[in-house]
Amino acid sequence: MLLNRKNRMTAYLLILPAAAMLAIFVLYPMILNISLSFKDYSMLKTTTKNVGLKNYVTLLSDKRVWEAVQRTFVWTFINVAGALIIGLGAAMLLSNGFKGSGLIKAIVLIPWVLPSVITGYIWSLMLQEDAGVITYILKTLGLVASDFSWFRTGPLSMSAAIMANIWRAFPFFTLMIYAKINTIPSDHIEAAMLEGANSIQLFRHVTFPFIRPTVYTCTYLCFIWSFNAFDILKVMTNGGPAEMTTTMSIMVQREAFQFFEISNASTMSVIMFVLMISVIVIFTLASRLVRRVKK
Amino acid sequence: MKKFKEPKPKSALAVGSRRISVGHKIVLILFSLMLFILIIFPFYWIILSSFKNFLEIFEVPIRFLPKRLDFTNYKEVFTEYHIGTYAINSIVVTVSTVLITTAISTMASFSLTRLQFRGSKAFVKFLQMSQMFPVVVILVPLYLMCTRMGLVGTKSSLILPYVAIQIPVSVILLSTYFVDIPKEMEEAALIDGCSLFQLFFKVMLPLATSGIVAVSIYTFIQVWQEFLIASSFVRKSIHYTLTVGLSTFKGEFINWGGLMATSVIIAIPAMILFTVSQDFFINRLAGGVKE
Repeated sequence: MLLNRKNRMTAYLLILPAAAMLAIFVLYPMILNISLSFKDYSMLKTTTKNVGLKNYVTLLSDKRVWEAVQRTFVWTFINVAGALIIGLGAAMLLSNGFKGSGLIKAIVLIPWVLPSVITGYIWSLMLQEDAGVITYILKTLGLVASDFSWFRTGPLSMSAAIMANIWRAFPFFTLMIYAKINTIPSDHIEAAMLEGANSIQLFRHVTFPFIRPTVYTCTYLCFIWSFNAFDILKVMTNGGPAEMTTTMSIMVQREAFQFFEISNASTMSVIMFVLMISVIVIFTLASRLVRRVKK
Repeated sequence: MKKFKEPKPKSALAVGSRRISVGHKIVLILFSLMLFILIIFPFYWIILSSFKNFLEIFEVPIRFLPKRLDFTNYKEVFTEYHIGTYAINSIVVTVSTVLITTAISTMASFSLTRLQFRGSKAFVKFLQMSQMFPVVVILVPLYLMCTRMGLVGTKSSLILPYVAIQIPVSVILLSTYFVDIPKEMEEAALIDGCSLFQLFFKVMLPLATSGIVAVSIYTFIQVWQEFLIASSFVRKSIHYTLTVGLSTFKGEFINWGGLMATSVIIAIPAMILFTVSQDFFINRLAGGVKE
C-alpha cells in the first residue's frame, strides 16, 4: 500500500545516492582496473597503449609473482586455521558458563576493535629481538638461543605476523560461535546426556552440526580478510626480509605506490581477485557435492 | 526498539557442566586464564610501554609493572611529533565519512525495507556482494580517479572512497533495525495523512535512532583505523591520518614509547565507543554479517 506511483519514484530516489556512490567508487574502479591490466601504463611514462595480454604473460612467468601467490595461500591458510581453532575453542570454553566468563565475554572483542596497525606495532614490540617481552621470556626459559630473532628469516617473520593476525581475528569466531551455541535448544543437549553421550560425542553429534553454518560463514569471512590482509604485514615486516613475507596485497600496493607501475599493479590485483573468487567457488561447489553425496 | 533479549546467562551447555569433575574444573580455569591473558596482555603492554622512556623500553630484566606514571611520551608526541595535526586530520576524515555514510545509508535502508520496490532484492544482493569486496583490487584505479579529479592531497580523496566502501555494511546493518519497526506504525501514520517524507522523518527516524547511532559507531571504528588507502594516497606528512602518522616514530631507531602513547590515544575513542555500544556488537553484528 505504500507503493503508489509517486512513492515508487521516491523509493528509487532514496537509494540513488547509495547506488551512485557504489557505482562510481566501487564498480567503475573495478572495470577500470581490468582495462588497465591490458594497457602499458606507468606514472613514469607519458604514453599509454594497449598491449593485450602482455602484462599477464609477463607477470605469470615471473617467479616472484608465483612466490607471492604461494605465500599468500600459506599466510591465509594458517591464519584461518589458527583463528578457527582458537576461536572455536574459546567459544566452547565460554559456553560452559563458569564464573568469570562474563568478564572474558566483555573483553573478547578488544583485539578486534583495536586498530590493526596498532596490533602490528605492539606485536612487533613484544617480539622484538632484545626487549620484546615474548622473546625475552623464551630466552630466559632457554627455549630459544640467546641471539634468536623473529625478524631475520622468512618463516619466522611470517609466523610473527601470523600470530598478530590470529590474535586479531579469533575473537570474531569466538563471538559468533558463542552466540550460536547459546541458541542450541537445551532439550537437544539433555536428550543426548540422557543417552549417555560423553562430551566429545556431544560436540560431534549435537553442538557441531548446530553451529556448522556459523563456522562456515566465519571461515569464509576470515578467508577473505586474511587473503587481502595488508596492515599487519606492512607494519611488522613490510614484506621483508628479502621479500620473504611479500604477499600479493603487499606486492600490489608496492608496485603502484612505490614503483608507480600502474599496469603491473592492476594486473596483479586482477590475478589476486580471480584467485580469491576461484577458491570460494571451488569450496562452495565442493561442499555442495559433499552434501549431495552424504544424502 | 530493542527486541533482542540478552542471551540467557547460562547456556544450554552449562546444564551439563554441573556434572563435571574437579579435574575438569581446574582445566577449565586454566584455559580461561590463558584466554584472558592472551586477550588482555598485548593491550596491557601497549599501556605499560607508553609510560616507559627510551631506556626503560630496552631494560633487562623486563619490568611487568609500571615504575611510575610518566606522561612524558604523551606530551612529546604533541610537541616533538605532529600527532595533534594527524589527530585533527583523522577526526575530520572519520567524522565526515560517518555523517555522509549514515545519511546515505539511512535513506537507502528505509527505502529497501519499507518500500520494497522492484529491484530491491537485487540491490540487496549487490550490497551483500560488495560488502565482501577487497579494497586492494580497486586501490589503483581509485588513486587514478582521484588524480584526475584533482583530489590528491585533499581529504576528499579519502572520504569519498571510505563512504563508498562503508555503505554496503552500513545499509545491511541499518536494515536490521528498520525491519524491526512494526508495520502498524507506518500504516497508522499513513492513515493519519502523513506524507512519505513525514513518515520517514517523524516516525521512522526516531524509532530507528538507537540503530542509527550504533551503526554510525561501527562505521567510525572501521574508518578510524583505516590504513591501506590512507597510507597509499596521502603523500605529504601534514595530511597524514593517525594510523599513517604512527610511521613517523620509525627513524633510525623506533621511538617505542611515543608510538605506544599514540597507540593509546588512537585506541581510546574506538574503545569508548565500542564499550557504549557493546550490545550492538554482540547481538546485531552477528545477525548483520551473516546474510
